[in-house]
Amino acid sequence: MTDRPDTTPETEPLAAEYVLGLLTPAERVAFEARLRSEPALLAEVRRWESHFATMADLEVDPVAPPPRLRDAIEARLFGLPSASLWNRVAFWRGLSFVTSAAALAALGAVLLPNMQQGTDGPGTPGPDTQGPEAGIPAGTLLMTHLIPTEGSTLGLAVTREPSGILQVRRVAGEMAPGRAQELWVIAGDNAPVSLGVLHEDALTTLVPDAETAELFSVGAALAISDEPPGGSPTGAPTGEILALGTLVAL
Amino acid sequence: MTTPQDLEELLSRIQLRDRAAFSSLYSATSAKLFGVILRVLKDRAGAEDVLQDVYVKVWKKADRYRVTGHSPMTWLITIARNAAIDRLRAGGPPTDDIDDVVQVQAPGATPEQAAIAAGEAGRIMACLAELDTDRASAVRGVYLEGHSYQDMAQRHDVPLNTMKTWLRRSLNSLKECLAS
Repeated sequence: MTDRPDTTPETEPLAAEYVLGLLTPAERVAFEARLRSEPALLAEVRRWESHFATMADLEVDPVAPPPRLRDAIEARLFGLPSASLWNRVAFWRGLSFVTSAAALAALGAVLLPNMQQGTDGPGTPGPDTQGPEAGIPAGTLLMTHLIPTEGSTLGLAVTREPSGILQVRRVAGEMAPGRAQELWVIAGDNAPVSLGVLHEDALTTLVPDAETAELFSVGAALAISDEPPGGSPTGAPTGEILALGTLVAL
Repeated sequence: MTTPQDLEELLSRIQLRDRAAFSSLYSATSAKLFGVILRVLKDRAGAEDVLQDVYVKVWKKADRYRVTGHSPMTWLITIARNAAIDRLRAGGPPTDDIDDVVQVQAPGATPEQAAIAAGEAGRIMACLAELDTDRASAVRGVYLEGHSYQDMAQRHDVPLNTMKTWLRRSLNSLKECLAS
């Protein structure tokens, strides 16, 4: 404090004090009443909000919140944890925007030997307009790389052979001790369907039944969740989603 | 890197109840907002609660965003900071949500104004730099740490009214500089 105490009355910069939260509760209520009928005063409040928020944006270091908070928020807003899984899949589906080159590079490719139709490239997987197709032609080889979710290091490459057999190779990350990793396929807006639990070794071979095999189509999503040993006891993902991938047409 | 235009687009989609857009907005902005809240509250558990409340509010009130004329980040930081201050000053009435009661656009509160504000991002920093160091750091402390007049009066060991006069003068100088 470099000032001598000062007795000249100072204009009260009420709008700034309001934005800063310096007013007493009574002053605040009175000021808010004025805001409703004085547009110029409101404009001044907006200006201060903008200036101070800009200062905070420039000066405050980001701190990553714990990953469980996202689940908690989505559970509060949308209900079940499975909704949160769905959301994350939808998030990766909507990669057309706010995306990273890394995620795009990791998007899987669907190799169609017959090349029936040209579609958008993997850079613009828009919303599904054609709806899930019923299965895929025999002789099609599907491949995708699963992208690790925030806070996860798990990377997987999945190949689906013409016979329907899935080869899942862990290319990054590992199993958490005492936990299992389960692979799910999600077609359209349907609930995730389990494809099985992964082995501890790098390579797992899974043989889905005919009904599950039908779910593989362009735009279907694959996800890996963290589960108790032996896999999910409920038939739906119960733990964190560790990695996600979408099958897109070239 | 998420641009303000990206965030604008996400907020428009959130208004249409697009959950994927909400998830993307959370990914892009939650670390900054958590940093802002943590700076005020200094308490992780409390900050986590407030962050949840903030995003619940963002989902429910995305339609109020345009009325403010703010840039997306300004709108989000303002919500986060007010929620943190309300918790810090728990006991008083919560800050009125002026976005709810004031349905009219403030004059000049338009997307263009937001663009101008973004262009002037450095102005507040330049004007703070023109203040004496102790005055600038007092203003910073009030916004970023949530200091009250009482806190500051105790800290500097001066009467409350002296503190008010001193800080109001700083705010008036700042206002003059920002308007010039």
